[in-house]
Amino acid sequence: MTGYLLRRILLALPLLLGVATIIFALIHLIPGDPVEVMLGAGAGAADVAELRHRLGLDHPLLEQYVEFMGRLVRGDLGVSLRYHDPIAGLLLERAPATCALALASLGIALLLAIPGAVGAALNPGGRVEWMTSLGAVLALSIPTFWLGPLLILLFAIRLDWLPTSGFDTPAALVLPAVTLALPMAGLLTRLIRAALLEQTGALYLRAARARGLSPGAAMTRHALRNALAPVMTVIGLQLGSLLTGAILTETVFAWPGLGRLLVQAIATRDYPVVQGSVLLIAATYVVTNLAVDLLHGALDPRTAS
Amino acid sequence: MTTPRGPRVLRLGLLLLLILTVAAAAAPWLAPYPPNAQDLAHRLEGPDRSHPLGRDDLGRDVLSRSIWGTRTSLGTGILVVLISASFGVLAGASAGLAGGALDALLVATIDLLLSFPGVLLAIALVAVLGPRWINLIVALCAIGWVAYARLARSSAMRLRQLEFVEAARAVGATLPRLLARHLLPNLLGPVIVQASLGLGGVIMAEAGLSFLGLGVPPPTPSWGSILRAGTQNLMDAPHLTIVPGGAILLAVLGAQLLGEGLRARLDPRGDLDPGP
Repeated sequence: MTGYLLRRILLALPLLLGVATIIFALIHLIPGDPVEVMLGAGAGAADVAELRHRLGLDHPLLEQYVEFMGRLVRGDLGVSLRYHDPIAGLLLERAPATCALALASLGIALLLAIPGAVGAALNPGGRVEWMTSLGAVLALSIPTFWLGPLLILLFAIRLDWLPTSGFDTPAALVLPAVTLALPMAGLLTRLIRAALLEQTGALYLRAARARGLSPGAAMTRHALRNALAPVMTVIGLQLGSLLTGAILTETVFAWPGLGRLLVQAIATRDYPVVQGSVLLIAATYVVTNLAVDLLHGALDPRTAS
Repeated sequence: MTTPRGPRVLRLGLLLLLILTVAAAAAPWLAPYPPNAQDLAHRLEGPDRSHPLGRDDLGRDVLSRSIWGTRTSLGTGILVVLISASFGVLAGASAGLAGGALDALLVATIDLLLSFPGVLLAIALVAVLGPRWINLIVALCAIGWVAYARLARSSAMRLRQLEFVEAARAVGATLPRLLARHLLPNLLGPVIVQASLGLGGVIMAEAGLSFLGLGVPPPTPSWGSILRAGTQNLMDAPHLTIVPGGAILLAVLGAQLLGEGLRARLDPRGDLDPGP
């Protein structure tokens, strides 16, 4: 078990290094002179030279790379061109809003997916299965950046039940979280249903039925538990689309999270902030998947061997 | 994978995509106005008899722009899928057949690309390269080819162990010959399923990037950029939001249904990726 833990963690390290290398390379992919692009057309030569020096872009490439990695290890992501604040601080300030949004969405997605999947698995080929399948494919096809504005039009403007945007009250979380949850719910419904159907022939289910449990109770108390372990790995992988979906959802709802920070940084050509937020999102993704794998290994020791 | 499945799903998906393809091809004849004709005196006006879907923030006809936008969205989607599938299959198949260092390199590249969630890498690439159509294609292909490469690689590795392949190699069959004669014919079915599922993902990604202002630059109409203007004027002009989003929904739904329908026929075991 310890060997598995160690091996899995050691495998994640080169990935993180690779991610950081791509982030480093981003700024050198800017066509033309990155410093002139950042400052805009009207910048004077002195300003350009000063910023080039400040970003370390006047050093040889290899030296820049070593310097970048060194600063990264110390948690130093540089300074925002627009806010003039350390980027690590900006990211920390915005991270809680994105975490709240992602967790609330995950919760809503599971609440929507589990009953649908159980209902569908209880009666394969029945009406419930047909309806959940239709709902799932629709949920997977709806663009979040369309669903969001539609929900605003209905619940915030027409009915005036919920705020359109902002972060001030818990009610403000409802619309963005539902918007972000729907595609995830569609995917999870399919997955959990398929995982449940794999369990249907299992002996422990027949034993549970023989002890007098109803089909529904046997399904939720026994099959669901076994089905959720593999589903968890997928949830880890899906966290990625949740985080990128958050970029769009935060833009729709003016939600003050990492995604909005990234989009604003792109619009203002604040490339150090672009690098920092992409790095944080990608690193979170890698680490979460590592954690999910380890958890899976702990829950189901067969995977660890 | 899921019901509703079978030929009905396949037909509905095909029908949706066919309608959109016809709209894209016949845009110059279908659209009542030129897509970029501005009329600032009537900006954001709602639907009326001469402009059934209303006008946008520059007074342009939303119906005409949505029809022309079909070209952008569907065209970009199909192009990206074609490039990603060709490159991915070639890379995955040759690495899988050759093994060794080439294969190790491919696996490392795939793992690295997969450590960026979803379209984040595409967003970052367009952000630095600049919002141009060619950059959009490059960015979407950069993340899109991975699914095809994995598919082709696993298929190639299965094939490599079969006796007839060993026999073919023993009598001197070269790698390109193995690829063309034995691997590609077997891969065609799964790749077609993957491509139609992937088309939905690419259309959604293109619309999302355009929505963020990172897609095709203005004034070229795209569903995502119409939605962008719609969200910015949501209170004054809800008509600007409703139609282009519906078009994206139909396109993605069509691709999904087509993919599911094809999968039920071609890949009953269901071991394919849904794409970006």
